Amino acid sequence: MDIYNIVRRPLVTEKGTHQAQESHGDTRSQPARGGSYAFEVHPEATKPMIREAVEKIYSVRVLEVRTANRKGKPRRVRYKTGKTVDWKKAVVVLHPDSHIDVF
Amino acid sequence: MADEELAAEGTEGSGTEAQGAEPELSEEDKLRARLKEAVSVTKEDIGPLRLKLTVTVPRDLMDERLTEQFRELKREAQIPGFRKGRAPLRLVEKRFGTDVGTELADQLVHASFSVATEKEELRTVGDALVWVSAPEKRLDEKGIERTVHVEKLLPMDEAVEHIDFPKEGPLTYACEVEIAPQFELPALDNIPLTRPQVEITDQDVDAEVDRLRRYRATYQPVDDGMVEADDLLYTSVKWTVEGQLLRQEESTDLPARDLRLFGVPLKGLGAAVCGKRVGDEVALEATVPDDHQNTEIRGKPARFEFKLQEIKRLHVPPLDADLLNAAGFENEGELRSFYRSRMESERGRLVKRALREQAMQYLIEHIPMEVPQAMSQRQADRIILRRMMEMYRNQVPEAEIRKAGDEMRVKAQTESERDVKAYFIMEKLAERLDVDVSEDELNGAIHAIAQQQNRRFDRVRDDLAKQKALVPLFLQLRDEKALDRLIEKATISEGTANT
Repeated sequence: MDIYNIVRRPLVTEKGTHQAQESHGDTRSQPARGGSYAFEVHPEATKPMIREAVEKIYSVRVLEVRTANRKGKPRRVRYKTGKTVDWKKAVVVLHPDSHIDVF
Repeated sequence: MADEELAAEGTEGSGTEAQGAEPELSEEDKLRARLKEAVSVTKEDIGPLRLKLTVTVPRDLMDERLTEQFRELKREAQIPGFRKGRAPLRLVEKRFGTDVGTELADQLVHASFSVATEKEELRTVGDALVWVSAPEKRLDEKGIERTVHVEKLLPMDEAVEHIDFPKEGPLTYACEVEIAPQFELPALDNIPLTRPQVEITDQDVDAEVDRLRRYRATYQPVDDGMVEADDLLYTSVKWTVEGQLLRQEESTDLPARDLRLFGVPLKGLGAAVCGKRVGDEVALEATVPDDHQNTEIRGKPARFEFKLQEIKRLHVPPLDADLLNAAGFENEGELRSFYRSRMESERGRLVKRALREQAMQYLIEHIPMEVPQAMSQRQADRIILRRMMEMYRNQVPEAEIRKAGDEMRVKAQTESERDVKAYFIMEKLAERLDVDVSEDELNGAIHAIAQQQNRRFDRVRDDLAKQKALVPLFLQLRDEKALDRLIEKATISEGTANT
């Protein structure tokens, strides 16, 4: 599993945007520094693996990694029931000197 | 914190709305007012009544508009992962940047052009043509079609598709406009006119019967024979300029007469193909005109090669029982009496037409005007289209209208000083009398053409739109209305017996 398989994509959401700005403030003149960023990661990736991958891909210092396994949602097409895939979410807290431009 | 952010964004949004709700000026007026201060224009004389304008919109105005557009868009944008209006500005910019840029460039080009002409006090005629680098399909030496970018002049609506919003620096574009000559209209009251007395003679009825036959004429294949003038030819075409192949068509139909092909007048085509047979090859040399759409080949020698595949000839049917039946008559006498009574009833229309012509003639004679010595192809095309529309409405058979159109296109461009004068005079007259034509009136005229040609209304309308003849038709109706108003105020004396 290489680092680009570990981190699948950043989660660009309203909640994520606010978390990224949370700890260090974001003003028009100064973009956010630090903060926490959410990613979809490989379901078998561990916290140390995610830390290493994020540090290498984005050249940042990671302070903390929190993970959560998300269950897929039930879906039904006419009489057939199914569900979307389970996935793993990782929230990475960055050092105040670091910043990721997710947009 | 998040709530504070949202609240801050909310107030910012409503603040902008409050500013935008100023009652006196609309968004467009505001933009025009800003552009009027900021736009810079340079003029260059490029021929009789033609100008080249270079318009520059400064960067700060562009940025201002861009920010404004993004702010507006941000309030409405729905992006996955965000509630409506909550996505960050930078994300909105990234997502919709290209679309907003294109739309803004379109808006700025249109608005700045109109402001530029206003600022320079120019009275332009027709659409402006804008210089753009646009893709064009060309054949390479192996005959494979490739897309190349060439600098060319396109009507503004088409050109804006090729104008990109620059990432840095001002937005600059060059365009060519035609301007109306300066002249004053004479007093429009009590113009002396003579009402002609129209009599319907046997010759007039003969002419109508003849016209019916020509209307029913069809092209029929000539199996073994030589090309005669005005035959319809199916032929392959190869067009080269200085040895470079520009266009090749396996089979196209063109009439055996001088005409304009791919924008190049082919004088001598009629003479060159007459007497040829199927399978014969014909080559013709010509010069690309100076106002050809493709600037790279202007003034260069062109060569056209044709190989005849099929010949068709216009067959005018005799006045026999079949023709009479098809037209809905039992015998010739019935047809003739129908035409005579119809012409009698249309006497008023003929008188009106004669009065309009007199009024037009009066204006032409009484308005001194400098008419340009040479005209651009667009100017000439406009006049030709109007002439053709006039013929359509005067019930001239289509084959003859096409022939007349080809003849006019190939002839010298200053063909008719009268037409040019009439064109400018009517523009001004219609403006002075504030004449307008409604959609219903336009549809009525199309319906009349459709009835004459025994075709469906929508087909005729589509055909006219394809030939870009709807505008000339509109202008013709407008001119007729303007002349009718002039006639209402004229002093009319009764004429002697005349047809």
